[in-house]
Amino acid sequence: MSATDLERRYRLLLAAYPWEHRRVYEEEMLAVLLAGAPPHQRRPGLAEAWNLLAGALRVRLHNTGRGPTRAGWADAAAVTGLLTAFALFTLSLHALTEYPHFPTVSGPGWQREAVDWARLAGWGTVCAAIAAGWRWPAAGLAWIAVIAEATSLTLRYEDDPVSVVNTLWQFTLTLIAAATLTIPASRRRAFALLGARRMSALLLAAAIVGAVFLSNRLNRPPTLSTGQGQAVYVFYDLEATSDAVMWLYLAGITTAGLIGLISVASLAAPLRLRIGALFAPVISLMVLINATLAGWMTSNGHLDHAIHLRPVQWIALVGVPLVTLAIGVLAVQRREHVRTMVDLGRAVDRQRSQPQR
Amino acid sequence: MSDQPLREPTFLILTALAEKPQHGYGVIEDVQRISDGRVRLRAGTLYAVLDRLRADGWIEVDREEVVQSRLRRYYRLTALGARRLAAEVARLRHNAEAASARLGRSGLLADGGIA
Repeated sequence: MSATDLERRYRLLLAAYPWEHRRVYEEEMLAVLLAGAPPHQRRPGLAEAWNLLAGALRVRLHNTGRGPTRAGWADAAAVTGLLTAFALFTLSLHALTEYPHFPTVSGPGWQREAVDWARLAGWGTVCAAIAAGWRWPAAGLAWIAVIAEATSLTLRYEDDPVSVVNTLWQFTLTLIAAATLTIPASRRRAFALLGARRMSALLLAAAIVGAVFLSNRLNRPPTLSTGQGQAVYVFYDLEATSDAVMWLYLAGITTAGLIGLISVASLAAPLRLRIGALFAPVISLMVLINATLAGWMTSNGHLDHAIHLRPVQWIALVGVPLVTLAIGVLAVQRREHVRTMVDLGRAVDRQRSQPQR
Repeated sequence: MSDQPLREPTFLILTALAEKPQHGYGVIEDVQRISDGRVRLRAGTLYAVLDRLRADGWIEVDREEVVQSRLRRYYRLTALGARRLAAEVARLRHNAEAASARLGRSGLLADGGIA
């Protein structure tokens, strides 16, 4: 039977497609191929065979590379760009409370103050540009920040490698902000996706963080110069003279963090998972540094000269976040593609269970 | 929604589905008619595009039938797909009108341009 031979050969060619695709489209494609074949044709034509194999390759690349949900990634990038820029702006608020005046070249440590003020002004401008719908200026400013931060890290590394490693997560956030803001999206798309309620919650979180920084500045314990004993509780840049105040600060920061987390967690699953995948490199970098470089940092603190990282450690610091990003993106793509295909396949099964015409 | 120009097979498939839902082989035949026989889609091309258009939400399944033991799935244009097609039509029309007007003014063509 020529029709049977042709069908068998077409099925062999269709086997080049991924199973998810075959489950949904194989029977349908076979019907189209057989309907278009001249009577008594026994073998697929060369052009048809080539087209099927090229189509299979395109579908495979499409599923793993560009992805079937490009619009979903563009949305996730828009929201991630806004959230990252806003987070960096919120973190840079500490300049507002740290220095009661603008830096002057005559003051001590003015360079550091100038950098902190520039961060605050820069990320504030990026957030304003996003709010105004000026995506390209926002992305351009974010890339300038990447270059500036990379330069700062390079200059500091020789004398102070520990502070460089400790601020790598911040640099990674800067890189994520620049990269995600560069991905094309419609004007103010991030605001539309987040909605007024979540945006209000994020502003509240930023206000809480700003209030903690301000309180820390106003209630900071005086510098002990007389040697009088006074307990001072320190947590990163936060300082307090009582345990209760320090717990209050930490509660404020934790609350702000939770508000941000809940705002993202309450988004629709496809968007939430993508945002998680885009932020995953920062988490993996922090875990890697805490898990593997604590001893190196301690050693640096006890020696009068800096110990620099070995090349393999740098490879890990760069490679692990990149691999995390790749795994996250592929996992999201895979999950959604399989779910879509299974749903479509069920529809086919339901159709087959109905009486044939 | 992407602002990239649509590739010709994508444009023709969306056009074929604009008027009424169609199944795969119907789309192939309609695209051939729309393009005056210039474009004949093959199954590999058609289903790569259909899969992408479904994933992007530009088309969706209208209904499924089994005819002579073969699955026949009808696709229809979504509102999102219709907007994208309309935007592409406007872009092409704008470019075509500009080209036509300039050719007419150039005097390079004996008949004075394109109708």
